[in-house]
Amino acid sequence: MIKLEHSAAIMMRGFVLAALLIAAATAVPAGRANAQEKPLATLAEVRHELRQGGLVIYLRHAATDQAGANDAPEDLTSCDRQRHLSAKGKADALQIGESIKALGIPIGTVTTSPYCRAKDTARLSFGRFVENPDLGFVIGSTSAETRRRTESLRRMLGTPPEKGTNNVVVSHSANLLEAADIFAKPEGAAYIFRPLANGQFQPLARILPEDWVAARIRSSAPLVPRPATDK
Amino acid sequence: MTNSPAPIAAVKRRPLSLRQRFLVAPLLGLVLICSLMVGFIYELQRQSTLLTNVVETRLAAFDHYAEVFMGLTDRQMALDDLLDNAATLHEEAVYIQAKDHLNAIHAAISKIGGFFDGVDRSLGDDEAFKAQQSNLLQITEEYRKAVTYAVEMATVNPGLGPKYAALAGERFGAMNQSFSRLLAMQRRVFATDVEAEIRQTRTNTAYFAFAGIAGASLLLFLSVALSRFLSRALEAQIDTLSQLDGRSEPAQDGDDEMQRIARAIDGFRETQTKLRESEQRFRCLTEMSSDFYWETDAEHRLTIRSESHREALESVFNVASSVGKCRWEIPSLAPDEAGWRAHRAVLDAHLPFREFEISRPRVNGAVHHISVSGDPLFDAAGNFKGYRGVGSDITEQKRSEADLRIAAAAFESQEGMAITNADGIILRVNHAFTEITGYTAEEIVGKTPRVLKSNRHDADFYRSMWESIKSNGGWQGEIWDRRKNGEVYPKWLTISAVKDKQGAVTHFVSAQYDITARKQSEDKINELAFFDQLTGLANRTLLLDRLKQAMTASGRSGCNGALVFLDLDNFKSLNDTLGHDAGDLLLQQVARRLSACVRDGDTVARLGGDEFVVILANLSASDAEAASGAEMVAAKLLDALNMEYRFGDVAHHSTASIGATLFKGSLLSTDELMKQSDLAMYKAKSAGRNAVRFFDPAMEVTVKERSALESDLRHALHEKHFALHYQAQVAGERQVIGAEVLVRWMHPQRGMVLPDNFIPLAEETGLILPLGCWVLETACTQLAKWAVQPDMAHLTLAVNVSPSQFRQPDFVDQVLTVLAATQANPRRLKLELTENLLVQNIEDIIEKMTALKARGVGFALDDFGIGYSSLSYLKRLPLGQLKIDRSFVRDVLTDPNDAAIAKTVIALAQTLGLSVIAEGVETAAQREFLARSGCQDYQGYFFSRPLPIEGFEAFARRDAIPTRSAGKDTADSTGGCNPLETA
Repeated sequence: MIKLEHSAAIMMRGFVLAALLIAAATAVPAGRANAQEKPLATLAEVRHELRQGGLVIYLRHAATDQAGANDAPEDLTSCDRQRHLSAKGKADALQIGESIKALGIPIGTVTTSPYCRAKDTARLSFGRFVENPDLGFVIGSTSAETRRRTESLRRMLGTPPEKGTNNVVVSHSANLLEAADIFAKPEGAAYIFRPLANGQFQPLARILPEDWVAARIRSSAPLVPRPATDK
Repeated sequence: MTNSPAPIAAVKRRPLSLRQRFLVAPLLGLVLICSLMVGFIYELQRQSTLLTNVVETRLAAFDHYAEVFMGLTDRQMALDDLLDNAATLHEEAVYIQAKDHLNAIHAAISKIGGFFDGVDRSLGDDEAFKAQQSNLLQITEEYRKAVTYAVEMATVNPGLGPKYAALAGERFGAMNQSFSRLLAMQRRVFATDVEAEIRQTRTNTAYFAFAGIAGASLLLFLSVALSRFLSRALEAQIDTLSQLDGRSEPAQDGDDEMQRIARAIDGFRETQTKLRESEQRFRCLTEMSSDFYWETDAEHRLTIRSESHREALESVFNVASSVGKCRWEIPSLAPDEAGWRAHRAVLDAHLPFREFEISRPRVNGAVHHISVSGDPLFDAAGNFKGYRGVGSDITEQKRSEADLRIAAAAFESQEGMAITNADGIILRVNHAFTEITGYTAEEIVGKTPRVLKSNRHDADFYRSMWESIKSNGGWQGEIWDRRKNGEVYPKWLTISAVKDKQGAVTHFVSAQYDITARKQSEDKINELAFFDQLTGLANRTLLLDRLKQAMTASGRSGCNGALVFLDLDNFKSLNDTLGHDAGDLLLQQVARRLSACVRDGDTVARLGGDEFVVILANLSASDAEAASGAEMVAAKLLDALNMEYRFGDVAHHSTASIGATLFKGSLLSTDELMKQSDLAMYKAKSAGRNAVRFFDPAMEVTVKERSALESDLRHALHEKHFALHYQAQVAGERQVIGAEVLVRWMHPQRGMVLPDNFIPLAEETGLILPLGCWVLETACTQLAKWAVQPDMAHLTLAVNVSPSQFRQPDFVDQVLTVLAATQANPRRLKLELTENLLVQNIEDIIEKMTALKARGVGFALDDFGIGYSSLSYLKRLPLGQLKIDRSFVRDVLTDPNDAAIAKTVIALAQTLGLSVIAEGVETAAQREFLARSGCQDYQGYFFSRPLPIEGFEAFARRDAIPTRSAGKDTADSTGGCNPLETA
């Protein structure tokens, strides 16, 4: 590398190397800087793609009742000792589920954190879910466990769903920060990801609970008779 | 071997050596010091281990956990600070910073879990400690949960941060307290341990001090005891040494031990010097004499006091252990048991004895003779003490006596012996000498052997004899002497000079024996070995010897020599007609005539039978002249042998054939020369006998070629390297009626060999018989095969039979056996005979032919017209066919004579009622001529060459078919090309 400027061949190799590095940077959305720089799209922009399937929806559990908290958050065996969905949270969860159905967005697998607030959110929105301990809140886990859970979440985001469906992952704020460098905020916020080749993924859009409702209301009339050419 | 001093009386059983005794005290001291040191080192080691444990394990653990706890405190404080101010930050920022602190707090807490495990085992069982330990762990866990929750809430709602941070702070305080309590407990235990160790160290020190004092006291006691023990031993030795002092001066009280020892040794040395002088005198005496000295004790056992005597005795008896034994206990050959008894009676009577002889076997098997003399010994009181005496080795003396006896016996042997002094005066003769010469001892002693001279030898003979005696110390050879009665006789004489130590001749010994009889038989043997008994000529052995000599001589002189080989012509018939006696007489006369014809230097030999050989030596150096010289002699020999012989009143004429070859030097072996002249002789025989021929190298080449061919032929017969070819015999235009079989030799190297090139040789060597047999068998086998093929069954085969084959007495049986074995039809077999068969024993031939004819076998006369067939015989022979020879057929169109002969043969056949066939037909014109002359059967290249069986069969079929159905002619011709081309 020291004699780079003296050798055309080595220089050429250098260019190729640089090009590869740039390509890698754009293709890996997990890269921290890139994700933050690019503003995420709205539901309207990804609605069509969502209806075709092939995306992953990361949903932070809906709003919780902060007053009802206690100091034993990791006892997953008992919902009594956990923070619960607030009334708003339950309503949001229902609305999100309704809207997705109404918008004709096909849902594949629904995977949730073992926390009650996440499971409740999934149950209210989709009526079904599969529990995965890897989606448990990473805030209290050791650094090694945090790394492991993060890798697991990245795999979920990077794995293309079954054809014509979108997978849903219901988890917590910090988990997405670890996995995709996005702090999911506020509670009930959904982030749309497109799985890429090699297990990578790309964040597409951020959708708040009220965005789902608005989209349903806006599209309910024209959507019913779909023009034949639309296909 | 000095006598060792008397052992110390105090120590009876296995006394310790002085050196070992001196070592006792230091060794004990060493053991004591070592054990003290080992104990001390062990103690130091123990203390060092304790200190190491304190420093490396306990103190390090305290340090480590203090460090961990301080780190934990730092993180807790930082986190507390962060959460208090969470409201001013984003949730995300709170999370990122707080997560870092939480990770550190988790790591620190995980270390606290095993905090006290390794600190002190003794605490593991302490209930209070255990309780405190679990309390700490529980509080720690609570703290961890609280702090985690505080962070969680702060990320959900930063406003809640301070509230939950305070909660976590409380928990941390409780944990801190619990940890301090545990540390205090641990410190107390630690202090107790160290105090116990200090007490232990003090006790051990006291033990060491006590053990040191006890050991020192023991050593002191032992030193005192041992010094007494050692000095006692030394004093006893000094006393003993003092006794050695032969001067017996009284010991002075003032002397210390060392002075006493020195004086004693002085005295001892004086005594020893005297002893040595006396011993040397004695040794000198015994060594200079050839005798040895011996002593025995009162029990007659040999006792030896000095080394030199021991050696002497051992060399004499050759028994290392002779000392301590009685004389009769040592193996001996003589005297016998009775002899020993008598000797022991003398000994028991204590009488002196002289020259008692003993023979003992030596290791090497020889015998040792000893003569012993002895006198009894008595002490002052007159008690018998043993014997003392000398002995001498008389082996040599014994041997000389025996030699003398042997010499005397040997002198009276079968040979005549005479001993003279240096001047040749006879001193003594033996009985055999008297018998041979006729002179008695009285007559001859005092005279010289010259009285025996026969005058057969000249002065030179005797001079060379004496020269040999002087230079070699002896002479032997054949000599003619005269007996007392005047008879001259040959004898074998051996003369040996006897010399004294200085090499001067003192006597001569002569041995002689009469070889008259041997001489006579030698002559006889010589004659038998080298001469032919019948003729007195040299035999083969002598001939070869002379030939070799002649060759060597010619090589030297450059003259040629000639080897002439003679063989009488028709000697066998003489033997047969006039008998062997006449033959012998002839041979004797031939021998005389030959001997008369040659010069003195030439050799005439008889090889055996009627073969004679003459070696002509000293012919001219020029080859041409030598050849003509040899030829002249040979012609002379022939003339001499051609003259009339007479056996009583019978006159006989004989001739000889002579072969000759020249030689010069030894270029060729005798064998090769003999072979050459033999070859030349055969050439002379084949030239019509009564002739002389010289060897020509071309003869040898031919012979060699022939012999190579012959061995090839034998091999070929063995390996069946022969094949039959078939030449068609055709009737009319083209009808195949049969074939003549012709043998071909399929030589692996030379390819196909035609019969002309090997049949003559086969005839000569007799190989024609097995070959003919094979041909006949093969032809008959072929006939049998054809018999089952409708298109071939009618064919006949003509087989040539050699005269020698036909003359076999069992020829008819042979043919019939082959026919039977092959199942061939005899009517299809035609034997072709040649005219020259008919020369001899015509009756026998007719008989055989008739016998075969009766079985259906046909006969053809081959080559008719070229031999000298007698027409009268022809009529009598049971022939079926005549064959016109190819030589007539060839020129039948050009040579009127041949044409006439052919016509005549055809006419003759017709007259005799025989069929006729022409061989060698090559053109259509020839066939036309023959057809016009009345010959309808042909054989020749015009029709077909001789072909292998496949070719012939193809030819026969191709030709046969159109005769039956002409329509198929063209269709069938596709299968074969012209057989002429395939041949």
